[in-house]
Amino acid sequence: MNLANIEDVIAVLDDMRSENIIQKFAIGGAFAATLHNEPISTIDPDIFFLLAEKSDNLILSLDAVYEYAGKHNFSFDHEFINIHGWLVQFVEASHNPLWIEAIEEAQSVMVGEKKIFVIDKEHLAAMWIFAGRAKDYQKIAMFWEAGILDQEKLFDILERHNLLSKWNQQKWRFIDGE
Amino acid sequence: MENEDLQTAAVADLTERKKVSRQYLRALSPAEKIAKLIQLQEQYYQMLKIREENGGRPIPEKWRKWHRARYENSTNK
Repeated sequence: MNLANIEDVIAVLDDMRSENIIQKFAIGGAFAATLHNEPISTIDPDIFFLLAEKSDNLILSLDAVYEYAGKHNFSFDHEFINIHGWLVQFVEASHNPLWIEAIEEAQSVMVGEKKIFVIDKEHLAAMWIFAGRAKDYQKIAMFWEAGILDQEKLFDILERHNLLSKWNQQKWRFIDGE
Repeated sequence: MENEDLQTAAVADLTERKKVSRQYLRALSPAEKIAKLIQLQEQYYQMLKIREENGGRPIPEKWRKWHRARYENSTNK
């Protein structure tokens, strides 16, 4: 496994977009946390995406993605697709306004020779508050401790997406002294 | 009293080392961070494997999937 593989994964994602399988997409989760802050172990890059073809059925809506995977000989298991040795998890985002905004405002990052869009730190923190698992709070703690969050931007996102009260209830988990 | 001073000094030393290590990791390029992430994945899997081999809890299914994906050829289902 070397870095070339992740560039190959990015090339596949770009191809999926150019073939109109997915529309906009951005990396989220722990993989994005690694790019913004410091490396943390995670199994899969999470790809938050919007489908080119809109569908109300979330299960059927991934058909185009699976079809693409099959056509290109990538094995898949539920939401994971094995792309060049990486288990890529595809998360369809159109039903969640916070996720849509996170994709729309994602920042471009160069990985080697390839450009990839990565969800920004403040939207990631809001998404982790929304998800509310222990591992999500750990990642917020890492960002907070590193002092890399733009607090004005973060609290604006939290307020607009009705997450401010959850932040205030849960902040003792990830901010020392709260 | 002397013991307490030693403990305080040891904690301060570890805190400083942690700070330096984190500063180094945060300053890496995206490509270098991904290379480190790959190392962490390998190390974590080896740890899970050793634990299982020594009678501990089995390797979680998601990590088995990760290992298959990384080391077995991609084939269509």
